[in-house]
Amino acid sequence: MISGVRGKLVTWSLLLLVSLPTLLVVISSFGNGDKLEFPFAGWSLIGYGDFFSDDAIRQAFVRSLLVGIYAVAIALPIGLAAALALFRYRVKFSPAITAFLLLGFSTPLVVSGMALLILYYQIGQIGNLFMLALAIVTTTFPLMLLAIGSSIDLLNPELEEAASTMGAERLQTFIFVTLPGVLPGVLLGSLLVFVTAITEFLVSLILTTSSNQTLPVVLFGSLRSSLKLRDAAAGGIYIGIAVILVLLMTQLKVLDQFFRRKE
Amino acid sequence: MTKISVDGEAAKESPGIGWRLLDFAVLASRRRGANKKRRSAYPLVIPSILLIAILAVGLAYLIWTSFQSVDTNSNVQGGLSLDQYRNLFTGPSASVYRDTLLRTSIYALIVTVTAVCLAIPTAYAIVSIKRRLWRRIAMLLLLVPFLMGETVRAIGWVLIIGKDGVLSWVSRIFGFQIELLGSPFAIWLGMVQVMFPLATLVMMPAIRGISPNLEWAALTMGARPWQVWLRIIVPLARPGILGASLVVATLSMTEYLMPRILGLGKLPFAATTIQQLFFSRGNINLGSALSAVLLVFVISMVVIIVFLGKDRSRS
Repeated sequence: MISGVRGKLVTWSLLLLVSLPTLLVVISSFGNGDKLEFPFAGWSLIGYGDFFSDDAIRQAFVRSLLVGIYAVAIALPIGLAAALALFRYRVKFSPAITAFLLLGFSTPLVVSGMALLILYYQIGQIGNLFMLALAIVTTTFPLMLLAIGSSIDLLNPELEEAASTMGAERLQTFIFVTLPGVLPGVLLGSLLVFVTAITEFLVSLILTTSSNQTLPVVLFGSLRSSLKLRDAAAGGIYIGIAVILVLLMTQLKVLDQFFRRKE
Repeated sequence: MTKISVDGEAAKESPGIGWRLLDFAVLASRRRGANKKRRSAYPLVIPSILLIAILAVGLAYLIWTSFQSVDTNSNVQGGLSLDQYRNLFTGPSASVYRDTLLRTSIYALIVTVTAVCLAIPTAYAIVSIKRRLWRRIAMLLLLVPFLMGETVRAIGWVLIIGKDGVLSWVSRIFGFQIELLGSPFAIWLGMVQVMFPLATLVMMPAIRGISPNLEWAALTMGARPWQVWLRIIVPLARPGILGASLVVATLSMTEYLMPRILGLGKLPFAATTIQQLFFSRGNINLGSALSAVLLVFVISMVVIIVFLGKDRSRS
């Protein structure tokens, strides 16, 4: 095709360049010594040991995981219901409602963060992990909505009609035909929301207090002062989670149609 | 009310507990709705509207706060006024705020152009990969920097261009010292590293829709490769280019971490200034005003980009 050997070389070089910081974090996380520096002192798992033994960073990690779980718990049912209503059953004013639900993506993240800060301050809810998860969900809701929506797009309405002609009640049709059909989108949306929530930085910085920090905020503190080995280990863990997520996503057929070319 | 028959005459086994529960649920739902045909799905969408309403109310509060005047000496709230906006546009620091917005916009523009220009050929190359394994590897390389989080990306860059980083070490071997941390180039690098994969991802559906037959046809008619690019691929990818530009531009305008860490906070950006106003200076009114200005700015930017994109497709 158009991209010959030269084109492929350039593309892969670009992809590798983009992955350079990732590579460095992973390599550094297995280093030796307290400070992160080059040349390399040696290989060890001290960084990861430090990560789990240091109270501040370990608790921050647990808080991040909690925020992630809360976020999915909030976004999944609400997003599934909304996606079904808007894209499958097509309620009235669907376009307008969909546009409203995309508000999180339309406003700059810093503005959303400050807006929620002011609101939370009014109702006295600063430093609450669940409220933080709620805030993150409002800004990343479109991810869940559109992920499930793309699954619904692929849903064949004839399957549901076939089920009802064979005597299935609406509830049965829903449980045995509709839900399995949207499952890939639900999984994709949940994974995306989870990862976004555990790595979320700006809104977390704005809405957490010094005693309630999530991991990205703690890493920010290290970035401003000095980087320790355990920070690279934290990076390694995040990278591991991201890799697992991508491998999971490639298993979901929803992404295949996104990437492959029609021949 | 008709009784539901669970099993036909031919069934010998009694139905399991799962099926009994299901029948109970169906019975319960049947009892309530007499007019099943016209049951609206509206209730399904209410929770999501309430959810996003939280953000909307917050934004309303923000805008409300921006219209308050505060006497800095006595810290007494005044009434509604345009004081904060006057401060922003004509006050003593007005030029600082203007420069900050300008700087943020210029960086956003440069990063958007870079990311999108790199993304077009990359998206094309990736959707053309035939073997599944290589496609998955490409996806991995593209998505992991994106999904691992900003702070990890920043750590990676500091490890490369920081004082104790790789670049510094390598340059010391050759006798000199490269100091990239704190430079505009470093900020650009950090931003492009995530915006380029994002732009590629947003563009892929559009590039995927371009039929290869069109390229073959052009080639057989004697077009050179660069002509095929300019005349066929790029114009057909326009919706994708538009979408990618929108996403990257709006995200770049709210960039906080890269200017703060890779730029060492030397150059004020919109998000860093807003954060400073709120937290360091405690001036939530001025901060809200600047946030509102940024919001209007970004919305206008979106409108302009969409307008620029739609215009030519008419002709």
